[in-house]
This record gives sequence, structure tokens and C-alpha cells, in this order.
Amino acid sequence: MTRLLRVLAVLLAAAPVLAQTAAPVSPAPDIKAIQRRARQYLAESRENDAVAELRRAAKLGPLDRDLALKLANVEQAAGNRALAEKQLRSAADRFKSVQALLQLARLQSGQGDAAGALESLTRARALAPNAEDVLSASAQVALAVRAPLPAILALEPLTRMCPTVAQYPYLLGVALLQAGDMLGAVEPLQQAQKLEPSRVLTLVALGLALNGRKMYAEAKPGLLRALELEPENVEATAALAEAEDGLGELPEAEAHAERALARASGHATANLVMGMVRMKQERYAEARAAFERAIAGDPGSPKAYYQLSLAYARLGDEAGAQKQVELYQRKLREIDEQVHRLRTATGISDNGGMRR
Amino acid sequence: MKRVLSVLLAALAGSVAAPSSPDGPVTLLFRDIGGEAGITFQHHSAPEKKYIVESMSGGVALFDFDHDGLVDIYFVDSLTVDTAKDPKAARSALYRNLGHGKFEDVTDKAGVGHPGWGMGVCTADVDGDGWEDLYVTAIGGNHLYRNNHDGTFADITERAGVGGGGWSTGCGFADYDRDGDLDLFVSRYVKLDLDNLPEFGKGKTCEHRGIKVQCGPRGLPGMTDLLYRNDGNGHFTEVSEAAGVSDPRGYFGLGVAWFDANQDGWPDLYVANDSTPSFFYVNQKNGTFKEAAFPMGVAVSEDGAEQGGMGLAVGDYDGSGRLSLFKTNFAEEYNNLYHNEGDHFTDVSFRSQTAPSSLPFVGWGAAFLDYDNDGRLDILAVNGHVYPQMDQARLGASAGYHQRKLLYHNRGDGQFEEVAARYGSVLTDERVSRGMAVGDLDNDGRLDVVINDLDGRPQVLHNELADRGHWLIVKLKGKAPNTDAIGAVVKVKAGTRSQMRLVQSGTSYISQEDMRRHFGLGAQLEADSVEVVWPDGTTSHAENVKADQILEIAQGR
Repeated sequence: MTRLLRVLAVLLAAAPVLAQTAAPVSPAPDIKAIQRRARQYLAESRENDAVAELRRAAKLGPLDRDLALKLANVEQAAGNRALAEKQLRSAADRFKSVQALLQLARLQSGQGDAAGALESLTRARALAPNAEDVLSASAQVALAVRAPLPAILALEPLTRMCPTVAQYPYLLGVALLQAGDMLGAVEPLQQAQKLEPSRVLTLVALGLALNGRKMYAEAKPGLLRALELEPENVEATAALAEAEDGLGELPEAEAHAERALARASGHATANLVMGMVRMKQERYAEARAAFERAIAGDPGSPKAYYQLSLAYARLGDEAGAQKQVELYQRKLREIDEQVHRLRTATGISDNGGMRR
Repeated sequence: MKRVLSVLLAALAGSVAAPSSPDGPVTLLFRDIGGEAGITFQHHSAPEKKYIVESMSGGVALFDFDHDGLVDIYFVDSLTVDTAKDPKAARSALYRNLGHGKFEDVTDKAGVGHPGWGMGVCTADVDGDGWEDLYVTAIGGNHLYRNNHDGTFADITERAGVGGGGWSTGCGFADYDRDGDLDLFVSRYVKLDLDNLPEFGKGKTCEHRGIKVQCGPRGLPGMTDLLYRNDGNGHFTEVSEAAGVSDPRGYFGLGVAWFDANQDGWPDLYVANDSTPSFFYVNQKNGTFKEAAFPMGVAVSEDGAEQGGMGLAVGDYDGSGRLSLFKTNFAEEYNNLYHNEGDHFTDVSFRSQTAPSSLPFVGWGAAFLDYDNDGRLDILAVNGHVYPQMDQARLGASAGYHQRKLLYHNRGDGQFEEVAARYGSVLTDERVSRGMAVGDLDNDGRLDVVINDLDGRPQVLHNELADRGHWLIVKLKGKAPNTDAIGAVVKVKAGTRSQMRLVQSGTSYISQEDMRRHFGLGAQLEADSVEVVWPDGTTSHAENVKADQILEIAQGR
């Protein structure tokens, strides 16, 4: 038996040579044999030879699951996305491969194909609904394509399954922030902060969520702590400025907004805060300019359009004010429609505190 | 400049001590005397509130219908979907103030018990005879009850042409065209067919936090609003569209406030809309209005969010000489305090510290009032959710179905402090409140509060604060036909403080406050001056007016 195996091994090792030798007399290359040779090369760490064999085999027909995934990785790394996608789809369809679906989703996400990525994730979750790696990958890909509701659906069970992993409640909080559910975001972010008290990302996300709920007094201490840990963090500085503006601490808000803008002149939140401060100072032309910069930084912010309309109104430009009100109303409608679409797609009805 | 002519009542009332500090221990401020006063009214609504029509009533009015110098109370009751076909199933109630803390139910004699599916109420001397009339909004037709001067009222709705129809909510009288008589604005809410109501919990707009709730107002068609011009002959003509206040888009109208925001002498109009931008109609002085809520900064929240506007209060809380605006909203939307800057408003809700504590609550009745007579207008807001199912939901930052009140003490520096807990359980007990009206029920110079609770017994909160300041109540008697002097402004200067109050019809959440104007004077034993700017622009003036009295001022004498 041992001897037989040794013989087989020798044969396998010699396969490329045999194949080359045999090629002229073999009218139909054997895909199985090519895959066997590829495996052999892989076992021998002959990466280039293995890839060459895999590419040959792929031209002849569908590869085995592991080899399809291997080739997909290779093609993706080489920038051949279409070839990679073909292999992943094939593996996913033929073998119901969760791994292939997750990899496909990552690939689609990288290509900006959010709908495709979400479809792949849905299929993966149907195959392995309670697998941590599936849920985690689903969430991360969903967040990457800014599809917060599938991410939430994946992260909610994860936070229950792995209650000591800070990353999951953090990601859940971020997903809820993306979905506009500031209220819902607060609780998981507080949980993440409890598990990892000095993580700046969590502190900033929690501050943003609390600001979003207009709980400025609660937001401020965490943001100050984030700045203690990372004094140059622009997001934390801008969020702190927003909290201070909400608390009526205008000089502090102005100083922090200026600090954030010194590092990132187009920062949407910092410009918005600066505009709010200038409105209160009745420096309306400067407020208008700040709001315009805020909109350039975040064209989806109804607040910036609304405040810009007020700046125009204070400057006596009725037509300008009216135009901004119309833009603001259009943004509101877009958000409403987006939320409606997401709810319809996910079946989630929770409106995060908004009325009906 | 004219002299004050008459001082009718000098009701010196007990203590003239300095106002209490909000930093002290728990103090008795209000005591609910409803039961002992003989008030047995019960508001009706279906317990599960499966339909939005069962969540929005009802108003309360404080007015002296019998001219005895004591403020009486009218509570509005509502039907339910199950009792909709039986108008007698709901009984609104008029209570005559007998004095000494007692009230008598005179509803049947007065003939004002069955306005149908009642919602709100406002009062005014509609016909200029010197007696207060009563207007009750309802689903399916409003009612104008004319005061017969003998304890009875006559329903003159049809003759007056002010029946409306559909689902009316707020109302308020004002002389918007300055022709001397009082006109009427009525806000309306949702267009609905009682025989074909949207099914409970069915559809995305019938869910909240993942639980099934009543549908609306979002997702339901809204109703237009109504402006009735007084023709001066007992009849009104509906002029909403021509005047530019008809709300053709059908926003969900609730609270109504007439006030001259820009001080040009002409009443402007604010309408709190639920789940849609609110309206601010600037009077164009030619019988029309221009809607300007967005440029004026009072349409939506500071961040541009459409809010669920409910109740309104108007007052000069900072001695600026301009009337600012307070609006209650749905939970997690914060109550707005819009500071009047003259030609626009600034949302100072967070800067003033009134917003953060309001976030968990669904706000309804609201009032500016000086509860401790310290010379500064404080704010009271009453709350209660619309969904009983909230108690089974994940609440998050929102409070449950029953909710406490919010009392904001004016610190005098543009900021307020929420102090309800300092005044005991009468303010912190959780209820489902709707309409609220403020007035002095016993003429002791301390402001009392009457609240209509949905599907429950009302609260009659008698102010018993011992440590409070001096006061002055000014009762105006305008020239007929506007004998209430609705739209007049009273200005009082005492020591270093200047205060102003507006006489309004239709206040708070679909309610009517005592039209007599109350001023806290703090430690001042007299007001240095009292000035009245009448609706027609003429003025009356008095100097060195003693504190702690009810001062009646008549126009043109």
C-alpha cells in the first residue's frame, strides 16, 4: 500500500512532464488531470506553475471548489476582477459555497456593486445563518457599501453571540448611525465603550450618535476624552464643536470648529457648526459661505440646506432662500424614500423614534 | 395717552414675600383640587386608541361666562369609533365657579354638553354684547354657542356659518382685518371616513418601534384650514383661500396662535402642524396673508426636521418687548422655543435649556406663566403619548404612554431650569394630558392650571405656593364689538423689569386660557406704570398702580 502511494506520488509529480509529452497525442485535455497537477504544484509551493495550470483548467470548464477560490484570489490580486468574479460565482452556484459568496460580496463591494454584494450576502446568510464569520463578513461588507440595514441584521445576533467582543457593538452602532437611527446607535456604542473604554473610534461614534439625538451634554465628555487620547483627531474635534454649539457654548464651539477646519477645511460638520455660530453672531454672509462649504462636504445634509436658506433670508435674498428651501425639501424627500426603500428591503419597521 | 379709569377689585391676598428659590427643598406649588371642588368630568376615548381619531382630543377653556368675576371651566369630551353614532355618549361639561374652591356642573342648563366628537375650544365675545361666547371644534361639524346672559347658550352655528366640517382641531378669534369685529381661524387635521378607517397596525405608517399602532397622520390625507371673516351682522364668510391661509397641501393642523409678531399693529397667525412644517402667516394688511414660516425660521426644527407640532404659547419671556413662541412636539423632536428677533425668529431651544428635558415626551398643552410671581415668565408643558402600545415597546429615549409634566423656571438670563420634581408628585405623576389652560381660579394672584387628560379625569391644579411675589391682574374691557380686547397688549413696568402680555383667543393645545393678564411683581409693592395698547392702536396708561389687585381697564374711558 505504501509503495503504491509512493508510485502515485511520483506519477503526480511527473504529471506536467507527462502532460506536455502527451499533449500532441491527446486531442482533449483532461481538466481533472490539470487540476491534479495544480494541486501538486500548490503542495510543492510552485505557485506560478499552479496558477498556469489553474488558468488552463478554467478555460476547459468549472474548477473544484477550493481551486476556484484559489484562482479567484489570484485573479483578484492580479486585477482581473471579471475572471475572479466568474470563479466565485461558479463556486457559489455549484457548491453553495459560503466562502465563495462572502468573497464575491467583497469583490462586488470593491467594484461599487452594492446591490450585487447585498444579494451575495443574503445568499451566504441563508446558507449559514449563525456562523460568526459569515455574520461578521456580512456586516463589514454591508457597511462598506453603505447598506446599514443588512449590517444591522447581521450584527444584532453577533452582539448576542459574542458579548465580550467590542468590535461587534461598535459596528452595530456605526451601522445604526449610517441608517440614521441615532437613538438605536447609542446603546451598542455605550456597550462597546464599556468593553474598550479608551478606543477613540468608539468614543467619536458615540459622540456623533449622542449629538444626533441632541444629547449634547452627554456627548461632550466622551469627545473630550477622545481628544485627550488623540488630540489631532478631526472627527472628534468637529463633533465636540457640534456638542458645544448645542449647549450654547459659542466661543468653545467656534474655537473647536476652527481647529477642525485648520486641518480639514472642507469638513462638513465643522463647517456646519461654524455656520451655526456665525448665524448666532449675525454674521450672515460668513454663515452662508460656511453652509455652502458644509454642503460641498456633505451634499446629503438637509440641515445644511435649511440653515443656508435662513442665511439667505437674513441677507434679504428671498429668491436664494426659497431655492435653498426647495433643495432642503428635496433632500428630505430623498432621505424619506431611502429609508422607505431600506425598510421595504429588510422588513424592518423600527423608525428610531421618528413619528410614524 | 389715556388714563386708566377704573379699579374694580382690590383683592389683596396674603403673603407678599419674595419669590421662592428653585434651589430649595420640595415645595408645595400645585394641589389637584378637582375631586374636592366637585368636578366629576370624565374624558372618553377607546382604551387601545386603535385609530388616530381617538388620541387627539380634548381642549379646556377658562372663561367667566356668567360675569361673576370668577373664572369658570369648560371641558371638551370626545366620542370613540364605537360610539361615533351616538352623540350623547360623550358629554362635554361646563363648571360654574362658585368660589371657595367649589364648582357646579351647569352643563345641562347651559346646553353645551353635546357638541359631538369634541376636540378643542376657544372663547370670545363674538357678537359684541359683552358676554363670552363659546366655540367648540369637533369631527363632523363645529359649534358656536352664543351666551344668552342667563346661564344658557344658544347654538347659532348654522346662522353664523361657522360649522366647518371634517376634522377641526384648533381655533382662535382675532380681528385680522382690523374692522373692529372678531374673525375666526380653525385648523383642521386629517381627512377621514369614519366608516372606512385605516386598519390598526397595517402598513409601514402604522408601526412604531416595531409594534403595531394606530395609523397616521403620515400616510393619511390632510385637511385644509378655515378662516371666517366676520361680516358684522351675525354671519361669517369663509375666506380661507382668498386670504391665503387655506393650506391647500393639507398639512395636519393643530395649535393656533394669533399674535402680532412683527409689531406692525396687524395680527399674524401661527399654526402648529403635526409631522409637517408649521405655518407662519404674515398679515399683509389687505385681507391677505403671506406664508413665511421658513424664512422666519419657525417652520421646522433647527436641523430642518419636520416636527409633530401640537400646542403653542406666546410670551415675552426675556423682557425684549417682543412676543416669542413656544411649541410642543412629538417625542424625540424637542419642544421649540423660538425667540422673536423682530423681523425673524431664532430657535433658542437648546441655548435656553428648554429642549433637552423635553426630548422623551410627546408635548401638548403649553403656557408661559409666572407661577411664582417673580416677574419672569416660566413655561409649563403637559405630556402624554398617543400610543398606549408604547408601554410594550422598546422605549429608547422616549417615555412611555403616561408622562410627567415639564415646568421650566425662568432664570432671567435667557435660560430655563426644569424644576417639576421640586414641586412634588402633582407635576411628576404620569398622565396622558392634552389640553391645558392657565388662569386664576380664586383671584388670589397665583396662577392655577386646568388640564384635560385623554380618557381620564381632569386635573385642577390650585396654586398654593406660599413663598411668592406680589402680583397684578389686568382685566381689559375693549370697545364693542371686541369687548374682550383680543389682540390688546398690556405692558407693566415695575422696578427694573418691563413685562408685556397679549390677550388671546385660542391658546395652548386647542384650549383657551383666562384672558385676564397676570403679572408677577416680585418684591415690588406697586407697578410704576401700566400701559395698554388696544387692538385699534390706541393706548391707555396708568402710573403707580398698587400691587396685589385685579385691575379693570376699559377702553376709551
